[in-house]
Amino acid sequence: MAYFPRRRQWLLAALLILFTLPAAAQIGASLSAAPAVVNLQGKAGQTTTQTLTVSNGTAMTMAFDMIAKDVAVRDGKRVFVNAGDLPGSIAATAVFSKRSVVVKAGEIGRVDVTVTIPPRPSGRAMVAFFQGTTKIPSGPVSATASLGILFVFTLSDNISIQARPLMIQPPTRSSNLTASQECINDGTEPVVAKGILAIVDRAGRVVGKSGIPDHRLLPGERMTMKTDYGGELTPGRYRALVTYDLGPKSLTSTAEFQVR
Amino acid sequence: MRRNLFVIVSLAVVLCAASAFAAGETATGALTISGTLAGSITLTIGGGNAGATTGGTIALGTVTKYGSYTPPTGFTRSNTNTSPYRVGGGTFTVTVNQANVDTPTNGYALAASIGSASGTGVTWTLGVSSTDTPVSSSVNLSDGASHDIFTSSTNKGSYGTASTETLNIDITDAAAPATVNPLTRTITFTATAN
Repeated sequence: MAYFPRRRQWLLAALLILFTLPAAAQIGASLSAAPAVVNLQGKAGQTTTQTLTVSNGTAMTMAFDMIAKDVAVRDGKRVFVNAGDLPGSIAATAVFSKRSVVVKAGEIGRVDVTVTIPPRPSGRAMVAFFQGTTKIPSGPVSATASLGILFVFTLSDNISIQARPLMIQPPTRSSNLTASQECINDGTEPVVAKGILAIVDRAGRVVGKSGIPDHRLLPGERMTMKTDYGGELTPGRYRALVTYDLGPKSLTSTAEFQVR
Repeated sequence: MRRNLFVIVSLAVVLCAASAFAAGETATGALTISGTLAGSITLTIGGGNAGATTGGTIALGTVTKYGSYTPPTGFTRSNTNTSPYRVGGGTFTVTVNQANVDTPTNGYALAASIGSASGTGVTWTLGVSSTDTPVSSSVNLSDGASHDIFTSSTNKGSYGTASTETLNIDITDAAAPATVNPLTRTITFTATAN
Protein backbone atom coordinates (compact mmCIF):
# COMPACT_ATOMS: atom_id res chain seq x y z
CA MET A 1 0.00 0.00 0.00
CA ALA A 2 1.43 3.41 -0.94
CA TYR A 3 2.27 5.69 1.92
CA PHE A 4 1.16 9.33 1.83
CA PRO A 5 2.05 11.92 4.47
CA ARG A 6 -1.02 13.03 6.47
CA ARG A 7 -1.15 16.48 4.81
CA ARG A 8 -1.12 14.88 1.39
CA GLN A 9 -3.91 12.49 2.43
CA TRP A 10 -6.11 15.47 3.32
CA LEU A 11 -5.33 17.08 -0.01
CA LEU A 12 -6.23 13.89 -1.87
CA ALA A 13 -9.49 13.55 0.06
CA ALA A 14 -10.45 17.15 -0.72
CA LEU A 15 -9.72 16.65 -4.43
CA LEU A 16 -11.78 13.44 -4.44
CA ILE A 17 -14.78 15.25 -2.94
CA LEU A 18 -14.44 18.13 -5.41
CA PHE A 19 -14.49 15.75 -8.37
CA THR A 20 -17.32 13.61 -7.01
CA LEU A 21 -19.86 16.31 -6.06
CA PRO A 22 -20.86 17.60 -9.53
CA ALA A 23 -21.28 14.05 -10.84
CA ALA A 24 -23.48 13.09 -7.92
CA ALA A 25 -25.65 16.18 -8.41
CA GLN A 26 -26.26 15.37 -12.06
CA ILE A 27 -26.99 11.70 -11.54
CA GLY A 28 -29.38 12.47 -8.69
CA ALA A 29 -31.49 14.99 -10.62
CA SER A 30 -34.07 12.49 -11.73
CA LEU A 31 -37.54 11.19 -10.99
CA SER A 32 -38.29 7.50 -10.61
CA ALA A 33 -41.46 5.47 -10.45
CA ALA A 34 -42.21 1.95 -9.32
CA PRO A 35 -43.53 -0.47 -10.27
CA ALA A 36 -42.88 0.31 -13.92
CA VAL A 37 -45.33 -2.32 -15.13
CA VAL A 38 -48.19 -4.07 -13.31
CA ASN A 39 -49.28 -7.37 -14.89
CA LEU A 40 -52.71 -8.50 -13.72
CA GLN A 41 -54.96 -11.45 -14.47
CA GLY A 42 -58.65 -11.47 -13.73
CA LYS A 43 -62.19 -11.19 -15.01
CA ALA A 44 -64.64 -8.42 -15.72
CA GLY A 45 -66.04 -6.97 -12.53
CA GLN A 46 -62.96 -7.70 -10.45
CA THR A 47 -61.17 -4.93 -8.58
CA THR A 48 -57.52 -4.48 -7.73
CA THR A 49 -55.67 -1.94 -5.61
CA GLN A 50 -52.02 -1.21 -6.28
CA THR A 51 -49.59 1.09 -4.51
CA LEU A 52 -47.59 3.36 -6.80
CA THR A 53 -44.48 5.23 -5.72
CA VAL A 54 -42.57 8.17 -7.10
CA SER A 55 -39.08 9.11 -5.90
CA ASN A 56 -37.96 12.71 -6.16
CA GLY A 57 -34.24 12.78 -6.84
CA THR A 58 -34.21 16.47 -7.76
CA ALA A 59 -33.20 19.34 -5.51
CA MET A 60 -36.71 20.80 -5.28
CA THR A 61 -40.19 19.87 -4.09
CA MET A 62 -42.24 18.40 -6.94
CA ALA A 63 -46.01 18.14 -7.26
CA PHE A 64 -47.93 15.60 -9.30
CA ASP A 65 -51.54 15.10 -10.32
CA MET A 66 -52.71 11.52 -10.60
CA ILE A 67 -54.22 10.76 -14.02
CA ALA A 68 -55.24 7.52 -15.73
CA LYS A 69 -55.39 6.96 -19.48
CA ASP A 70 -56.28 3.96 -21.59
CA VAL A 71 -53.74 2.43 -23.93
CA ALA A 72 -55.17 1.77 -27.37
CA VAL A 73 -53.40 0.26 -30.38
CA ARG A 74 -53.77 2.05 -33.70
CA ASP A 75 -51.89 1.01 -36.84
CA GLY A 76 -49.96 -1.49 -34.76
CA LYS A 77 -48.67 1.13 -32.28
CA ARG A 78 -49.77 2.30 -28.87
CA VAL A 79 -51.53 5.56 -28.16
CA PHE A 80 -52.80 7.01 -24.90
CA VAL A 81 -56.49 7.91 -24.79
CA ASN A 82 -58.14 10.08 -22.15
CA ALA A 83 -60.16 8.17 -19.55
CA GLY A 84 -63.76 7.73 -20.65
CA ASP A 85 -63.18 8.54 -24.32
CA LEU A 86 -63.43 4.87 -25.28
CA PRO A 87 -66.46 2.71 -24.51
CA GLY A 88 -65.41 0.22 -21.82
CA SER A 89 -62.61 2.48 -20.64
CA ILE A 90 -60.59 0.84 -17.87
CA ALA A 91 -58.93 4.15 -16.99
CA ALA A 92 -62.35 5.66 -16.24
CA THR A 93 -62.69 3.22 -13.33
CA ALA A 94 -59.37 4.24 -11.73
CA VAL A 95 -59.78 5.77 -8.28
CA PHE A 96 -56.69 7.27 -6.69
CA SER A 97 -56.28 7.58 -2.93
CA LYS A 98 -54.99 11.12 -3.56
CA ARG A 99 -55.74 13.30 -6.54
CA SER A 100 -52.36 14.95 -6.21
CA VAL A 101 -49.18 14.34 -4.29
CA VAL A 102 -46.37 16.66 -3.24
CA VAL A 103 -42.96 15.08 -2.83
CA LYS A 104 -40.08 16.92 -1.19
CA ALA A 105 -36.55 16.65 -2.56
CA GLY A 106 -35.08 13.26 -1.81
CA GLU A 107 -38.38 11.83 -0.60
CA ILE A 108 -40.86 9.24 -1.87
CA GLY A 109 -44.56 9.74 -2.53
CA ARG A 110 -47.07 6.89 -2.45
CA VAL A 111 -50.54 6.73 -3.98
CA ASP A 112 -52.96 3.80 -4.10
CA VAL A 113 -55.02 3.25 -7.21
CA THR A 114 -58.05 1.00 -7.39
CA VAL A 115 -59.12 -0.25 -10.80
CA THR A 116 -62.25 -2.23 -11.70
CA ILE A 117 -62.44 -4.18 -14.93
CA PRO A 118 -65.58 -3.02 -16.76
CA PRO A 119 -67.97 -5.60 -18.34
CA ARG A 120 -66.66 -5.04 -21.87
CA PRO A 121 -63.23 -3.45 -21.55
CA SER A 122 -62.09 -1.55 -24.62
CA GLY A 123 -58.50 -2.63 -24.30
CA ARG A 124 -56.16 -4.53 -22.08
CA ALA A 125 -53.92 -1.77 -20.76
CA MET A 126 -54.00 1.57 -19.03
CA VAL A 127 -51.40 3.94 -17.62
CA ALA A 128 -51.47 5.66 -14.24
CA PHE A 129 -49.50 8.89 -14.50
CA PHE A 130 -47.67 10.91 -11.90
CA GLN A 131 -48.29 14.07 -13.93
CA GLY A 132 -45.75 16.72 -12.97
CA THR A 133 -47.45 20.04 -12.19
CA THR A 134 -44.68 22.00 -10.52
CA LYS A 135 -44.58 25.56 -11.77
CA ILE A 136 -41.16 27.05 -11.40
CA PRO A 137 -41.51 30.81 -11.01
CA SER A 138 -37.89 31.89 -11.23
CA GLY A 139 -37.23 31.22 -14.90
CA PRO A 140 -39.10 31.62 -18.19
CA VAL A 141 -38.34 28.08 -19.40
CA SER A 142 -38.17 25.13 -17.10
CA ALA A 143 -38.29 21.40 -17.45
CA THR A 144 -40.06 18.85 -15.37
CA ALA A 145 -41.05 15.24 -15.69
CA SER A 146 -44.01 12.92 -15.46
CA LEU A 147 -43.86 9.18 -15.17
CA GLY A 148 -46.41 6.61 -16.23
CA ILE A 149 -47.00 3.16 -14.76
CA LEU A 150 -48.32 0.62 -17.24
CA PHE A 151 -51.14 -1.71 -16.15
CA VAL A 152 -51.64 -4.78 -18.33
CA PHE A 153 -54.73 -6.97 -17.95
CA THR A 154 -55.11 -10.56 -19.10
CA LEU A 155 -58.77 -11.53 -18.98
CA SER A 156 -59.03 -14.80 -20.95
CA ASP A 157 -57.01 -17.55 -22.63
CA ASN A 158 -57.47 -16.15 -26.11
CA ILE A 159 -53.74 -15.72 -26.75
CA SER A 160 -52.59 -15.68 -30.33
CA ILE A 161 -49.74 -14.31 -32.39
CA GLN A 162 -49.48 -14.21 -36.14
CA ALA A 163 -45.92 -14.41 -37.41
CA ARG A 164 -44.78 -13.10 -40.79
CA PRO A 165 -42.11 -15.09 -42.70
CA LEU A 166 -38.84 -15.53 -40.81
CA MET A 167 -36.03 -13.54 -42.41
CA ILE A 168 -32.48 -14.85 -42.10
CA GLN A 169 -29.40 -12.88 -43.03
CA PRO A 170 -26.59 -15.47 -43.21
CA PRO A 171 -23.29 -14.65 -41.51
CA THR A 172 -20.42 -13.10 -43.40
CA ARG A 173 -16.78 -12.55 -42.47
CA SER A 174 -17.72 -9.21 -40.95
CA SER A 175 -21.24 -9.79 -39.61
CA ASN A 176 -23.17 -12.24 -37.49
CA LEU A 177 -26.19 -14.17 -38.64
CA THR A 178 -29.31 -12.15 -37.99
CA ALA A 179 -32.88 -13.37 -37.72
CA SER A 180 -35.88 -11.07 -37.80
CA GLN A 181 -39.59 -11.63 -37.90
CA GLU A 182 -42.57 -9.35 -37.68
CA CYS A 183 -45.21 -10.57 -35.24
CA ILE A 184 -48.73 -9.31 -34.68
CA ASN A 185 -50.85 -10.01 -31.65
CA ASP A 186 -54.10 -11.11 -33.32
CA GLY A 187 -55.68 -12.41 -30.12
CA THR A 188 -57.68 -10.50 -27.54
CA GLU A 189 -55.12 -10.70 -24.72
CA PRO A 190 -51.65 -9.25 -24.13
CA VAL A 191 -48.75 -11.58 -24.73
CA VAL A 192 -45.15 -11.66 -23.57
CA ALA A 193 -43.42 -13.62 -26.32
CA LYS A 194 -40.28 -15.44 -25.20
CA GLY A 195 -38.44 -16.59 -28.30
CA ILE A 196 -35.45 -18.75 -29.14
CA LEU A 197 -33.60 -19.26 -32.40
CA ALA A 198 -32.17 -22.72 -33.13
CA ILE A 199 -29.90 -23.47 -36.09
CA VAL A 200 -30.00 -27.03 -37.42
CA ASP A 201 -27.56 -28.53 -39.94
CA ARG A 202 -28.44 -30.94 -42.77
CA ALA A 203 -28.00 -33.93 -40.45
CA GLY A 204 -30.64 -32.52 -38.12
CA ARG A 205 -28.19 -31.58 -35.35
CA VAL A 206 -28.68 -28.34 -33.46
CA VAL A 207 -25.45 -26.41 -34.08
CA GLY A 208 -26.39 -23.08 -32.55
CA LYS A 209 -28.92 -21.30 -30.35
CA SER A 210 -29.70 -17.72 -29.54
CA GLY A 211 -32.34 -16.19 -27.33
CA ILE A 212 -34.77 -13.55 -28.57
CA PRO A 213 -35.44 -10.82 -25.99
CA ASP A 214 -38.91 -10.97 -24.44
CA HIS A 215 -41.44 -8.67 -26.06
CA ARG A 216 -44.82 -7.57 -24.74
CA LEU A 217 -47.47 -7.27 -27.42
CA LEU A 218 -50.87 -5.78 -26.69
CA PRO A 219 -53.82 -6.96 -28.82
CA GLY A 220 -53.38 -5.55 -32.31
CA GLU A 221 -49.78 -4.52 -31.67
CA ARG A 222 -47.12 -5.30 -34.25
CA MET A 223 -43.40 -5.68 -33.57
CA THR A 224 -40.29 -6.99 -35.28
CA MET A 225 -38.43 -9.58 -33.23
CA LYS A 226 -34.70 -9.70 -33.82
CA THR A 227 -31.71 -11.67 -32.69
CA ASP A 228 -28.27 -12.54 -33.97
CA TYR A 229 -26.02 -15.55 -33.66
CA GLY A 230 -22.30 -14.96 -33.24
CA GLY A 231 -21.07 -18.57 -33.45
CA GLU A 232 -19.09 -20.06 -36.33
CA LEU A 233 -21.04 -21.87 -39.05
CA THR A 234 -19.12 -23.89 -41.63
CA PRO A 235 -20.21 -23.46 -45.25
CA GLY A 236 -23.35 -25.43 -46.05
CA ARG A 237 -27.10 -25.44 -45.87
CA TYR A 238 -28.95 -24.89 -42.60
CA ARG A 239 -32.44 -24.51 -41.24
CA ALA A 240 -33.36 -21.82 -38.72
CA LEU A 241 -36.21 -22.46 -36.30
CA VAL A 242 -37.71 -19.73 -34.18
CA THR A 243 -40.05 -20.78 -31.42
CA TYR A 244 -42.08 -18.36 -29.31
CA ASP A 245 -43.31 -19.48 -25.92
CA LEU A 246 -46.62 -17.71 -25.35
CA GLY A 247 -47.40 -19.43 -22.07
CA PRO A 248 -50.20 -21.92 -22.78
CA LYS A 249 -49.13 -22.34 -26.40
CA SER A 250 -46.13 -21.93 -28.66
CA LEU A 251 -45.50 -20.85 -32.23
CA THR A 252 -42.68 -22.06 -34.51
CA SER A 253 -41.41 -20.69 -37.82
CA THR A 254 -38.64 -22.04 -40.02
CA ALA A 255 -36.45 -20.76 -42.82
CA GLU A 256 -33.58 -22.32 -44.75
CA PHE A 257 -30.35 -20.52 -45.53
CA GLN A 258 -26.94 -21.10 -47.05
CA VAL A 259 -23.58 -20.19 -45.51
CA ARG A 260 -20.91 -19.62 -48.14
CA MET B 1 7.94 -9.69 18.92
CA ARG B 2 8.10 -13.49 18.51
CA ARG B 3 6.50 -13.93 21.98
CA ASN B 4 3.61 -11.62 20.98
CA LEU B 5 2.98 -13.64 17.86
CA PHE B 6 2.91 -16.84 19.94
CA VAL B 7 0.33 -15.29 22.31
CA ILE B 8 -1.90 -14.13 19.45
CA VAL B 9 -1.83 -17.52 17.70
CA SER B 10 -2.59 -19.32 20.97
CA LEU B 11 -5.55 -17.04 21.68
CA ALA B 12 -6.94 -17.61 18.20
CA VAL B 13 -6.70 -21.39 18.60
CA VAL B 14 -8.49 -21.25 21.98
CA LEU B 15 -11.27 -18.99 20.61
CA CYS B 16 -11.85 -21.21 17.58
CA ALA B 17 -12.01 -24.31 19.76
CA ALA B 18 -14.46 -22.62 22.13
CA SER B 19 -16.77 -21.60 19.31
CA ALA B 20 -16.64 -25.14 17.90
CA PHE B 21 -17.75 -26.58 21.26
CA ALA B 22 -20.40 -23.88 21.61
CA ALA B 23 -21.78 -24.72 18.18
CA GLY B 24 -22.72 -28.15 19.39
CA GLU B 25 -25.03 -26.62 22.02
CA THR B 26 -26.71 -24.01 19.88
CA ALA B 27 -30.24 -24.56 18.61
CA THR B 28 -30.78 -23.68 14.97
CA GLY B 29 -33.40 -21.19 13.89
CA ALA B 30 -34.77 -19.86 10.64
CA LEU B 31 -35.26 -16.30 9.61
CA THR B 32 -37.80 -15.77 6.86
CA ILE B 33 -37.09 -12.79 4.72
CA SER B 34 -40.01 -11.73 2.58
CA GLY B 35 -40.29 -9.13 -0.10
CA THR B 36 -41.21 -8.53 -3.70
CA LEU B 37 -39.22 -7.23 -6.61
CA ALA B 38 -40.75 -4.51 -8.75
CA GLY B 39 -39.51 -2.97 -11.95
CA SER B 40 -38.85 0.74 -11.93
CA ILE B 41 -38.04 3.49 -14.40
CA THR B 42 -36.27 6.79 -13.95
CA LEU B 43 -36.16 9.93 -16.06
CA THR B 44 -33.26 12.38 -16.04
CA ILE B 45 -33.05 15.72 -17.80
CA GLY B 46 -29.56 17.08 -18.07
CA GLY B 47 -26.51 17.63 -20.22
CA GLY B 48 -26.59 19.54 -23.48
CA ASN B 49 -25.43 23.12 -23.85
CA ALA B 50 -28.37 24.69 -21.98
CA GLY B 51 -27.49 23.14 -18.65
CA ALA B 52 -31.10 22.19 -17.92
CA THR B 53 -31.94 19.60 -15.28
CA THR B 54 -35.13 17.99 -14.04
CA GLY B 55 -36.89 20.80 -12.21
CA GLY B 56 -34.27 23.25 -13.44
CA THR B 57 -34.86 26.53 -15.24
CA ILE B 58 -33.53 28.42 -18.23
CA ALA B 59 -33.88 32.19 -17.94
CA LEU B 60 -34.49 33.70 -21.38
CA GLY B 61 -34.52 37.23 -20.02
CA THR B 62 -36.38 39.97 -21.88
CA VAL B 63 -36.43 38.90 -25.50
CA THR B 64 -36.25 41.58 -28.17
CA LYS B 65 -35.66 41.35 -31.91
CA TYR B 66 -33.63 44.52 -32.22
CA GLY B 67 -31.01 45.93 -29.95
CA SER B 68 -29.07 44.34 -27.20
CA TYR B 69 -30.19 40.93 -26.01
CA THR B 70 -28.10 38.37 -24.20
CA PRO B 71 -29.59 34.92 -24.59
CA PRO B 72 -29.01 32.28 -21.92
CA THR B 73 -26.20 29.77 -22.16
CA GLY B 74 -26.50 27.58 -25.23
CA PHE B 75 -29.11 29.79 -26.92
CA THR B 76 -28.68 32.27 -29.74
CA ARG B 77 -30.89 34.90 -31.30
CA SER B 78 -31.07 34.44 -35.06
CA ASN B 79 -33.07 35.32 -38.18
CA THR B 80 -33.32 38.92 -37.03
CA ASN B 81 -33.73 40.04 -40.66
CA THR B 82 -36.95 38.09 -41.02
CA SER B 83 -40.18 37.37 -39.25
CA PRO B 84 -40.32 35.17 -37.32
CA TYR B 85 -36.97 35.52 -35.64
CA ARG B 86 -35.68 32.82 -33.35
CA VAL B 87 -34.33 32.38 -29.88
CA GLY B 88 -33.13 28.84 -29.76
CA GLY B 89 -30.45 26.26 -30.17
CA GLY B 90 -30.38 25.37 -26.49
CA THR B 91 -30.01 21.64 -26.06
CA PHE B 92 -30.56 19.26 -23.21
CA THR B 93 -30.76 15.51 -22.98
CA VAL B 94 -33.53 13.25 -21.73
CA THR B 95 -32.55 9.79 -20.52
CA VAL B 96 -34.89 7.05 -19.33
CA ASN B 97 -33.45 4.08 -17.50
CA GLN B 98 -35.06 0.93 -16.15
CA ALA B 99 -34.32 -1.84 -13.71
CA ASN B 100 -36.17 -5.14 -13.43
CA VAL B 101 -38.75 -4.32 -16.11
CA ASP B 102 -39.98 -7.63 -17.56
CA THR B 103 -39.66 -6.63 -21.21
CA PRO B 104 -36.91 -3.98 -21.47
CA THR B 105 -36.56 -4.51 -25.22
CA ASN B 106 -40.05 -3.01 -25.61
CA GLY B 107 -38.41 0.30 -24.67
CA TYR B 108 -40.35 3.29 -23.44
CA ALA B 109 -42.76 5.94 -24.67
CA LEU B 110 -41.87 9.61 -24.23
CA ALA B 111 -44.05 12.68 -24.75
CA ALA B 112 -43.51 16.40 -24.24
CA SER B 113 -45.81 19.31 -23.51
CA ILE B 114 -45.49 22.99 -22.59
CA GLY B 115 -48.75 22.83 -20.63
CA SER B 116 -50.61 25.74 -22.22
CA ALA B 117 -50.79 27.26 -25.70
CA SER B 118 -47.96 29.59 -26.62
CA GLY B 119 -50.11 32.48 -27.87
CA THR B 120 -50.48 33.83 -31.38
CA GLY B 121 -47.22 34.48 -33.16
CA VAL B 122 -45.01 32.35 -30.95
CA THR B 123 -44.02 28.81 -31.87
CA TRP B 124 -42.27 26.42 -29.52
CA THR B 125 -40.56 23.47 -31.18
CA LEU B 126 -38.35 20.68 -29.97
CA GLY B 127 -35.83 19.18 -32.34
CA VAL B 128 -35.24 15.55 -31.42
CA SER B 129 -31.98 13.78 -32.10
CA SER B 130 -31.44 10.18 -31.08
CA THR B 131 -29.97 6.89 -32.22
CA ASP B 132 -33.55 5.63 -31.83
CA THR B 133 -36.21 6.58 -34.34
CA PRO B 134 -38.46 9.31 -32.91
CA VAL B 135 -41.98 9.86 -34.21
CA SER B 136 -40.71 13.08 -35.77
CA SER B 137 -37.40 14.93 -35.75
CA SER B 138 -39.23 18.16 -34.89
CA VAL B 139 -42.16 18.43 -32.49
CA ASN B 140 -44.35 21.55 -32.40
CA LEU B 141 -45.49 22.08 -28.81
CA SER B 142 -47.27 25.39 -29.37
CA ASP B 143 -50.81 24.11 -28.76
CA GLY B 144 -49.96 23.10 -25.22
CA ALA B 145 -51.06 19.50 -25.78
CA SER B 146 -48.92 16.43 -25.18
CA HIS B 147 -46.93 15.34 -28.24
CA ASP B 148 -45.25 12.00 -28.76
CA ILE B 149 -41.49 11.84 -29.13
CA PHE B 150 -41.20 8.07 -28.79
CA THR B 151 -44.10 5.61 -28.79
CA SER B 152 -43.75 1.85 -29.31
CA SER B 153 -42.47 -0.68 -31.81
CA THR B 154 -40.24 1.01 -34.43
CA ASN B 155 -40.63 4.39 -32.70
CA LYS B 156 -39.79 3.19 -29.20
CA GLY B 157 -37.14 4.79 -27.02
CA SER B 158 -34.30 2.55 -25.84
CA TYR B 159 -33.50 2.57 -22.15
CA GLY B 160 -30.22 4.23 -21.30
CA THR B 161 -29.93 5.99 -24.65
CA ALA B 162 -30.07 9.74 -24.24
CA SER B 163 -32.07 11.73 -26.75
CA THR B 164 -31.01 15.31 -27.35
CA GLU B 165 -33.75 17.93 -27.49
CA THR B 166 -33.13 21.30 -29.10
CA LEU B 167 -35.52 24.03 -28.00
CA ASN B 168 -36.41 26.75 -30.49
CA ILE B 169 -38.83 29.61 -29.92
CA ASP B 170 -39.89 31.46 -33.08
CA ILE B 171 -41.50 34.84 -32.61
CA THR B 172 -43.21 36.82 -35.35
CA ASP B 173 -43.02 40.61 -35.46
CA ALA B 174 -46.79 40.67 -34.99
CA ALA B 175 -46.78 38.73 -31.73
CA ALA B 176 -48.21 41.02 -29.08
CA PRO B 177 -46.49 41.00 -25.68
CA ALA B 178 -49.88 41.37 -24.02
CA THR B 179 -51.02 38.11 -25.60
CA VAL B 180 -47.94 35.95 -25.30
CA ASN B 181 -46.48 37.13 -22.00
CA PRO B 182 -45.29 35.79 -19.79
CA LEU B 183 -42.96 33.89 -22.07
CA THR B 184 -42.80 31.28 -19.35
CA ARG B 185 -43.43 27.60 -19.86
CA THR B 186 -42.58 24.37 -18.13
CA ILE B 187 -41.68 21.63 -20.57
CA THR B 188 -42.94 18.37 -19.14
CA PHE B 189 -41.47 15.12 -20.37
CA THR B 190 -43.57 12.04 -19.67
CA ALA B 191 -42.02 8.57 -19.82
CA THR B 192 -43.88 5.26 -19.63
CA ALA B 193 -42.52 1.72 -19.89
CA ASN B 194 -43.83 -0.23 -22.86
